[in-house]
Amino acid sequence: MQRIAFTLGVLLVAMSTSAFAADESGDVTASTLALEAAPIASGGSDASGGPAALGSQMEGIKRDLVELKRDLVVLEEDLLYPASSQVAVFLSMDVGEFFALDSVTLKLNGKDVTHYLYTEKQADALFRGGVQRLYVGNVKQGDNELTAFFTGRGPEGRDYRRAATVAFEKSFEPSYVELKISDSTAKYQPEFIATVSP
Amino acid sequence: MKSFLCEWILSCVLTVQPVTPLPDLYYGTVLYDYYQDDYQQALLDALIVERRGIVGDEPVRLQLAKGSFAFADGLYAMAEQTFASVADGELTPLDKMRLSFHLARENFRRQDFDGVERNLVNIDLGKSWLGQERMHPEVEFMRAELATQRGDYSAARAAIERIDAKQPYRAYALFNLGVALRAAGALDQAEAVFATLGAMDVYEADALDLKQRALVALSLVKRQRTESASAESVLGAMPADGRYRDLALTSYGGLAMDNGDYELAARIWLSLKKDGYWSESSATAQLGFPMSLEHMASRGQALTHYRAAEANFEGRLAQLQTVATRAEDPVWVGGLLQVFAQPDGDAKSSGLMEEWRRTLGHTDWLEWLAAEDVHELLLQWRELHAMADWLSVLPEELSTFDALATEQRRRAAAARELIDTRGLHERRQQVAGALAESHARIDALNHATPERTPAWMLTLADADETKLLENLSGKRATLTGTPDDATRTRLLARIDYLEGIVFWGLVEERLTRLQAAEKQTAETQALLVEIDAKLARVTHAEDVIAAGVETDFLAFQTRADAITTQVAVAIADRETRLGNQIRSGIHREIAQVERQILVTRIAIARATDQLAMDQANEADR
Repeated sequence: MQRIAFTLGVLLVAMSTSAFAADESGDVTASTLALEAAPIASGGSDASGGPAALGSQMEGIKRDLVELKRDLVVLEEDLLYPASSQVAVFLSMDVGEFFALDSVTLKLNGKDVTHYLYTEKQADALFRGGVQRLYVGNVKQGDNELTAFFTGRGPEGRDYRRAATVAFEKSFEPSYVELKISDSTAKYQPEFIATVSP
Repeated sequence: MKSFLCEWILSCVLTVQPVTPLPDLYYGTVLYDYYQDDYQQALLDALIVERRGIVGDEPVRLQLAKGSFAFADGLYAMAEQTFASVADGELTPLDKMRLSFHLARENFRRQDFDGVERNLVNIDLGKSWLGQERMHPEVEFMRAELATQRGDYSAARAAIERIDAKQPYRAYALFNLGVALRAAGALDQAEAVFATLGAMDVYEADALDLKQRALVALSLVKRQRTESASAESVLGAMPADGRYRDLALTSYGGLAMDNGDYELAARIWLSLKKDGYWSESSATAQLGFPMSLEHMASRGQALTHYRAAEANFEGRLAQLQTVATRAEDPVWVGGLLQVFAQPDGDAKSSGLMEEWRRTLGHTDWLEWLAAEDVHELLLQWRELHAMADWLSVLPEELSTFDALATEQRRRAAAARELIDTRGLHERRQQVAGALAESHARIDALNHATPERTPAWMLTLADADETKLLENLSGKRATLTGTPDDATRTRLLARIDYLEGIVFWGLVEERLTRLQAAEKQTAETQALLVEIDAKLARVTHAEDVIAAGVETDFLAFQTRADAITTQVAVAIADRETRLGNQIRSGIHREIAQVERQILVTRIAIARATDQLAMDQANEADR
């Protein structure tokens, strides 16, 4: 009787303890977590079928695929936007303390060509120095006009809507328009600047 | 006025600014993706910029960025090659630090702590203008992990202190330090570290998870130090939800039994038993509850609940055996995996999950698939399926491009034909000839002084005047042979008079005519430019598109086919492995339930004996 009770107790304790497996095997968990934090997967070497070999196989496939995608994008752009008619519009932000961007609408030669609404993350990426390729398309050779309408919140959180217009002459080379939102510390107002190259 | 109108309508700004160099713009687009944590897109953009050669004067920065994105996207070999390709001499001191950072991450991934140390010593971000040291959370995290690994716990603690409290790295580093301290037997310090993490404000799901684990670990350390009351208060304060709720409750129940508080233990086991799903914790509760009742001298009830537990375990065993049989079918396994083929939270995914819940009647299969190695397989399987989906639409996309290229080639050919049939080259020659003549004429007019000679007058004369001058010149020649001197003299004077009228008219209009001639020349020049542009466009289309694209399409399809084959092989491999893992999970659980049945039956036998003995004792009395 005592022996049965002892066996039951041991088994129950064993089961109860197994519930702490994640805790008891803390060392393993620790290294796993450390790797997650990197964030990276465990390394190690195995010749056949282990995690490292599978990871290596995945890397090979992913690399081939990303290189294929790269070449496809280049091909696509060359096909759809030949240099002689290509225009690309970039949006950047210099400081941007006086303006919180909500959206941008682009008009090319009087026609709406794109309208972009910004998430907080996208606006933050611009604020941190990222540049968005807002639009790429085709225009006729010769004289063209681009107008960008910016909406957002200006100083003191007021609704703000401004436009920047730039005229450019399209040549055989691709044209690049940079729209820049910057701060005028003298006026305590945002400035919207458009430049063209070449 | 224009400025005023612009301000009044919408305030347009026409500002001439220095143009940002193109490489800087493209580098900025790469950063734009990176700042949104879209490493895959950032890598792709970096590769495109590199392929187009828009790297500018600072190729190193793009290389470092490319390596970093490749690393973040799991392309470790590519990252290593990229970093290795950066020549040391090209690096600025800041670039050297960046490279050391990336290499430290790679060494850390491989758990090569000597390498981590070698690279971390090169990183010194200096001080801010306030004199405070600049810190990078991941660098400090690696420093903390390195110190933990080396057993220098005070250095680890110091590095952790330098990580901002809002960074999840802080939670990871603290947890790992706590585990290391506990393993080293420094229970006081381990307890302090787990308590710090347990009290931390956390802002991300991972950190919250760690916080709960830390609390469970803290209770364990306290139990290890026989501080039962304190352990109980830690567990009692844990939130009643989250991933570790069951684990905490099981620990709490065990602790209550250790302390002899069987009533509390029974309440905890009962609470766990009530959950509608099967887990190791609820299985423990099935047994823990009657055991607590036994200690509360409710032997009759304990026996009843042991029998109920036995029935539950047997039901569970039968269910698992059915599932095990079905799991031999790869189609069944494939159906189960479909749950993970959909994006998280997707309606289809939720529907599939519900369907499998109905089929399997529990959620433990999710636990089997959540184990780390299986989870990695699942992630790979899911990523491979996303690749397969992308590749499956590629032929259609390529065929669209092919059609587009064909159309462009057709237009180029049509334009070429236009050149041939309408004689654009000949036309160009004519226009160029006319232009040369115009230039010569203007040049002559500008330089020659007015004189009453046919050569000068004909240069300026229009068609009518030319006709008149030629007529007069012809008549003068005819008069040369006239015998009547008086008539000849009179008529020659008349011709001379008329010619004089034309001459003085031309002298008067010389400037206007010169301007008109210059205008005409400019128009001819524009026409020539237009013809040249047309010729250039056609030549470009012919040379670049018609010749280059067709070959690329074939190469693309060949490359895509090769990758598709690799992906299919990898998917089949992952499905086989996942099938094995699922079957192994089912068999592990079968063995566990069988063990639980055995324990329950022993308990039933013992409780029956005990009850019988109690009844006999009662009867004896």
